Amino acid sequence: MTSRKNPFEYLGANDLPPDMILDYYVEDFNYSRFIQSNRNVLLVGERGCGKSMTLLYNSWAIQQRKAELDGHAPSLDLIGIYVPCNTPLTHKGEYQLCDRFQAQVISEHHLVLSIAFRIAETLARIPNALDGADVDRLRDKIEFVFAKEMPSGASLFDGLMEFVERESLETQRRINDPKTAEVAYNDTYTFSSLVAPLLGCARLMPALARSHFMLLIDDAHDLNEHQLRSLNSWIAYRDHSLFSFKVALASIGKASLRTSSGGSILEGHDYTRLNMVQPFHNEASDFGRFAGQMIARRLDKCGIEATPDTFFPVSPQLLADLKKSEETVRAEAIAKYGDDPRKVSDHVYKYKRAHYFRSRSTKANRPEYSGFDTLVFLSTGVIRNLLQPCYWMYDKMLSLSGQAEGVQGPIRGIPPSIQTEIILDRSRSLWDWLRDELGQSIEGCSSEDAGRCHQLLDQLATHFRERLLHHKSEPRAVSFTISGRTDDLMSKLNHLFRILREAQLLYIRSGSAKDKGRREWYYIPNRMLWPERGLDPHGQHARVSLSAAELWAAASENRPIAVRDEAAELKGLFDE
Amino acid sequence: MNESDSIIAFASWEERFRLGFDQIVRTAQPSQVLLYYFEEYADWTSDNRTHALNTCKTSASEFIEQKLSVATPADNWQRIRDDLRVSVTPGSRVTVDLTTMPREIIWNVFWMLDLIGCRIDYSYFRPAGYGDWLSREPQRPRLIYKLSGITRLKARTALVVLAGYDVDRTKQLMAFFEPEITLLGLQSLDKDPTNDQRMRKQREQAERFSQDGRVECFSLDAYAPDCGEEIVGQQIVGYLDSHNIVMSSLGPKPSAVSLYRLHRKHRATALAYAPSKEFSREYSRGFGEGVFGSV
Repeated sequence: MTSRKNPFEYLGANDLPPDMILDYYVEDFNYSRFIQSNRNVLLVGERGCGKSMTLLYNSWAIQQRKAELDGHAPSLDLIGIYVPCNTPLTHKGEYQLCDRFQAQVISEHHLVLSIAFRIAETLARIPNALDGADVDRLRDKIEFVFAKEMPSGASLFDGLMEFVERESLETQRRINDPKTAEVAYNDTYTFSSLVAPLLGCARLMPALARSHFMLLIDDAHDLNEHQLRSLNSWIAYRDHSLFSFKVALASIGKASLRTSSGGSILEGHDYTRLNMVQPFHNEASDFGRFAGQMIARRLDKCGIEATPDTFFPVSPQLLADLKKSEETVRAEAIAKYGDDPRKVSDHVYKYKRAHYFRSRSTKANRPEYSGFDTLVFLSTGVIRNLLQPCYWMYDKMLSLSGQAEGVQGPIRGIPPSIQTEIILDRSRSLWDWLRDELGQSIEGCSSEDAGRCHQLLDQLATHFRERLLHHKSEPRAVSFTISGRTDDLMSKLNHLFRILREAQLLYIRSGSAKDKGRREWYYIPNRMLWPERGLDPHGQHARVSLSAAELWAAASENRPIAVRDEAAELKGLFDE
Repeated sequence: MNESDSIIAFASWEERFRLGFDQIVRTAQPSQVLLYYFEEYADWTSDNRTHALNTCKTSASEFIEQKLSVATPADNWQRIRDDLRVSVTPGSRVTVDLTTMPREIIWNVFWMLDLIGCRIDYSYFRPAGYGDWLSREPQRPRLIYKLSGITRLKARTALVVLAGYDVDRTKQLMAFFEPEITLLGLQSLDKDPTNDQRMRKQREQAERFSQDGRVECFSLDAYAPDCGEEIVGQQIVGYLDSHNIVMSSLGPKPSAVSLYRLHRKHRATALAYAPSKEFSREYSRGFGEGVFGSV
């Protein structure tokens, strides 16, 4: 049966019911299987890229439900314990009123109790976990760990949850005591004194004797500095047989990798890093395939019989125009390269779409933006950026189907005209927000910073458009690298880039450089900015080399970024 | 307004600070005035602070001026704690002038005065009108020291925001706390002619936010005798057992009083502050009516 529920809901994963997580989650092409291991993993990516969804999917509660629906018993080999960090408990700041040692101790205590609670909650959900276990011995061991008696009468795990929560509440009441200005609490726990022994107790249950516990720490960037250092110290533990950490972070730059003892955890040695926001260069890339599977699944779950491509069709006029451009460009390529199929094909790839944009009349309306692959390019590799315009398009169709007489029934697709309308509207809104609201929305962004950010992106848009319309080489490049770096210029630019990243207007990736095969950072403005400026969001797998000086001049003085001729550009590719 | 042993105020460059200060000193006839200000705005507030000093000389009130910093909330809390321990005695009557006092400082001061055991009155003077923009460069929201509530480990968050004129500060609080539900209080029955239009903008934005989570709007009047306490109380009562409640006041300052009172009744609730780094020199103009009461 077809539902008119919007299939493109983009609520945060924590707001989705378990069955919807199972319905929507796609395991392929997004490294999620790395989670199901003994490794420590850091999942890094901006808001909306699927970190919470990935952790929740791998939690025991969801895996248990999955097994139930699949008709078999859930495996106890890997038990995921989901620990959310974006809670008022994490945001408490009273530790700042203590000396540094007390601050560390109280901070770790809060975090450790949260983890212990989630362990107890998860164990309580495992059916038959206590089969064959010596419950009295377990109770004794747990009481030894806590150095206190467990509540009597309750089942073991319910008693444990009650006990941990009582400890947490008591800590908070003492620290927030309105009868004293003192901030102190002495009966604290640590990871070594509570969590590790608790997991050890779990292993005493025959059913869990070989289980590995994955501590799924979500939004770790919300932890305070002491908690982050403690977490890093635990990640540095040598023995991963009993437990491992899967930690979701907005970015590594924000979170220190330092441990409590002043050392650092090392990628490769202590953890594996998964970058959740993937480069998207074409439909065959991992993200392209992932996006296709995800949308197909959502359509299917809503009873809509369509593929992503048929649900979001390309405008026939656009297809026809692109075909004409392709024929023209192919003829040029054959004239230039003769029978060399690879050179001809490369030439068509580079210039087919550029020819379409160049051959449009100056009096024509904005280009059309339609087709599923266009939506995927516009997302710039972030899942929520893909779902949002789809949501708006579907919502528009629901509104229209209610208004037009005789137009009822399921939504079978989004007409290209509606796709273009919504995309242009979203693009315009993004520029309006950048111009008018950035300074009021992003932490640490002054009005000057906001102005500079706008000028920078505005000049980049103008530069890319000039390339698209006139440049001989790489006309559709919409990302850039930075040459001529100096400490002073990069310090100023990085401040703006930090703001733009937080605003999700800019993404920074690592890729291979043309020069001697090194790695380099490249910068990709959010492609949803481009339709309003008449640019091609499909872009091209090429990066323009721009100097730090001209980028700063664009930002600070609103100076245009010159489009260099081909010879100068080739030279620029080898600049440091 | 009652006579007071002490007045605690916060200096601003606005006209209503100066005129309101004169009025409360004249009426309360305090033996002591404690005036705080932010060092980052020392130049802007210099004239008004000098005026305050002269007012106190005329009324023979002891004048104590203390510098705080926008950047160091922990130091500010400790400064206020140390000052009030020395300056204020249990059982004394203290008037807190809320007019240009940041909400975080309001709540810190209320908490300290309750700890000491004072009778707390408040005063608030409205301006005649507001500027086009009020604040910029939002900083990370934070829970108030000692008023951060009691968090239950399994409960989701319910966020209460008493909206002001800066729509983006509301959005920022929602983005930061990621609540399951946001209860958005919109000021009604306001004498400011721009209020209705601004609250309409808040409501429109709220409808857009609701794609990222549930938002329910309600109306309140922060200038009512109870500062809107009863209405806000009715909104939160259904969530006290099921959610961790975080409350923030962005609207008329008297709403900070109602949230503080509600926290005192329900200590598990948390108070949150959404700081800004930059304030408008033209934040407000003129001098309007005064509002007085007891905490």
